[in-house]
Amino acid sequence: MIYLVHILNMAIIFSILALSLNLLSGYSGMLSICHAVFYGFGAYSAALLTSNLSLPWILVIVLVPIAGAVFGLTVGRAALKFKGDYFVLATFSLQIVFSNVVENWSSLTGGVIGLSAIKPPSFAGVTLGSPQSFLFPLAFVLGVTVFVVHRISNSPFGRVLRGIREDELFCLSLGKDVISYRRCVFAVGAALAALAGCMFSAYRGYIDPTSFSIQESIFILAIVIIGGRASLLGPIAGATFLVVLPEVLRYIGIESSVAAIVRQLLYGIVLVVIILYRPQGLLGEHSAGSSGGMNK
Amino acid sequence: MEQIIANILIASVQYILIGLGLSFIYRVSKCIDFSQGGMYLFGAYAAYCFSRMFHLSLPVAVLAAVLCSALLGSLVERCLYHQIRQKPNHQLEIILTSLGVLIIIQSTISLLFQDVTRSLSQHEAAPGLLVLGARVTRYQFLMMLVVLTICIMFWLAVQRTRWGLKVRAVANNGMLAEIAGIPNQQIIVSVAVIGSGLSGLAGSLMSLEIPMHPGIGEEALLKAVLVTLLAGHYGVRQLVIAGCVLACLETVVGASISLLWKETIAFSIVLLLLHISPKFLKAKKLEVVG
Repeated sequence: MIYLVHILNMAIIFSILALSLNLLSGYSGMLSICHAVFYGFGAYSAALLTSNLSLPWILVIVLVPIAGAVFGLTVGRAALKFKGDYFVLATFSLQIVFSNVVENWSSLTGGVIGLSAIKPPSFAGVTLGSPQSFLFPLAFVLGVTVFVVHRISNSPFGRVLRGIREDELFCLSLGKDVISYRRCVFAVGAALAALAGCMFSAYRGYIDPTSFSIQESIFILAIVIIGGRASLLGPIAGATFLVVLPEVLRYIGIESSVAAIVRQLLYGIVLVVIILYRPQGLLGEHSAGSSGGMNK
Repeated sequence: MEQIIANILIASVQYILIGLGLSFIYRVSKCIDFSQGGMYLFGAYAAYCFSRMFHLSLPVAVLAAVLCSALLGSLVERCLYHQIRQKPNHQLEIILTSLGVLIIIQSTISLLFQDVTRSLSQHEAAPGLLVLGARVTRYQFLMMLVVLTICIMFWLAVQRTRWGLKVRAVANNGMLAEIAGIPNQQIIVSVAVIGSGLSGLAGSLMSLEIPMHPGIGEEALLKAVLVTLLAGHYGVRQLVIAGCVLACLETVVGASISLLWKETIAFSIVLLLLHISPKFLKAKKLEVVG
C-alpha cells in the first residue's frame, strides 16, 4: 500500500511539473529544456530555508514559488533574447550551468552527495512523515496547479499566448507585447515548478543533483509531448503513464537497474512514435500550425 | 608554457572534431540534431565492437564504425526526419525526435554494454612524444592530423565541388534551391550521412584517448552545442575559431580557477557573449560558407 501511494505521490509531483511546463511549451510554443532548473531551485531553496534558517514549512511553501517566479523572470529575460533554435540551445546551456553549479558548490548544495535530513513539514502539530500523509497535501497542490493553469488558459491572457504560438507576427501587428507575455508565462511556469520542487524536497527528505539534471528536463518535456500539449489532462495522463511504467516493468520480473534503462528506452520510443503519428500528444489540442508552434 | 599551448591545441582539435557533425547538419537543415550525441556514442561503441569482438585492426575498426554511424544517420533522416519535414512547421518536432533518438541510442547501448567503463585503446598508457618541449600522446597527434585533413577536405568539398554548391544553395534558401531544381531532400540526406559519419569518427577517435561509457554521448553533445552556439550558421573557419576560443577558455579556467568550473564558466561566457550581441551570429545568415 505504501509503495502504491509513493508511486501516486511521484505521479502527482511530475503532473505539477508537466502542467507548469505545458504553460511554456504547450500554450506558448516555447521549447524549454531547462525546466528541471526551476524544479531544482525550488527543492534546494526549500531545503536550505528549512534547514539553515529554520523557517516553518508553511512560510517556505509561500516564499519558494515567489522566489521561483523572480528567478524564472530573470532566466526568461536572458533566454527570451534568443529565438527559435537558439532559444532551445540557450535553455539547454542554462540547464548545464545549473547542474554544474549544484554539483560543484558543495558548501551550499552538498555537491554530488546532496542535502539530507531535511526536516519533515508539520502543520497544526501533525508531522507529515509517511507517503500516505503526503497524499492529500500533494493532491491539494495539484488541484491549485490545475486551477491556475485552467484559469490562465481560458483567460484573454491565455488566448494571446495561443495566438503568439500560432503566429507571433500577427500578434505583434495587433499591438501585443509578445516578449512581456512570454516573460510572464515563464515566471508562472517557474513558480509552479519551484512549488513542485518544494513539495518534492519535503516529501523525500533528501535531494541530490541527479533529480534536477538535463535528463530530468527531457523527461518532463517527454511527459508534456506524450500526454498532449496545451491540454489540462494530457500532462497528468503523461506523468501517470511514465511514472507507472517502470513499476510495471519491475512487476514483470525485470531487475530495477535494468528497468530504469528499459523505461528510458520505452519513453524514447514512445516520444518518437507520438511525434510521428500523433504530434498533438495523447490528449492534446491540435495546433493550426500543425506542430504546436515554436518561439520563432 | 609549451605544454599549455599544446593543451590548448589538443582541446581545440577535440572541440572541432566533436562539433563538426552537429554544426554541419545545423547549418544546412537549420535544425538542431541532438541525436548527434547518440551518433558519437554509437561510433565509439561500434569501433569497440569491431576491434574487440571481430578482431579488426584499429584503423579498419574506426573506418567501419564511421560507415555504420553514417548508415544510422541516413536511416534516421530517411525514416524519421524526412516524414516530419513534410509538415509546414517542423523545427520543434525534429528537435524533439532527435532527443528521442538520442535517448533510444543511449539506453540501447546501456542495455547491451552496461554502465561499465571500457577502453578502445589496446596499448598500455605510455608517456607522450616530446614535440617542441610539450608532451603529446600519439593518439592526440593522430587526432590533430585527422582534424586538419578533414577540415581541408571539408572546406574543399563545400567550396569547390558541384555538391558543395548545392549544399550552400540549400543552406541559404531551401525553397529557392528546390525551385531551381536542386533535390533538397537528397542534399539533406547526404549532409546527414556526412554529419553522422563525422560524429561517429569523433566518438571512435576520442575513445582512443578517453575511456568510454554510455554517458559520453551527452558529454560530447555539451561540447558540440557550445561550438555550434558560438560558430552559429557559419562554416568551417568559424567552427575552427570557435573551437580554439573555447579551448583557450577551458584551459585558462582549468589552470587558474578549477577544472570543476570549466564547463560552467565556458557556457556562461558564451551565453553572455550571445546575450550582449546576438546579432553577430545571424547578421550574415546568407553568407553560409564551407
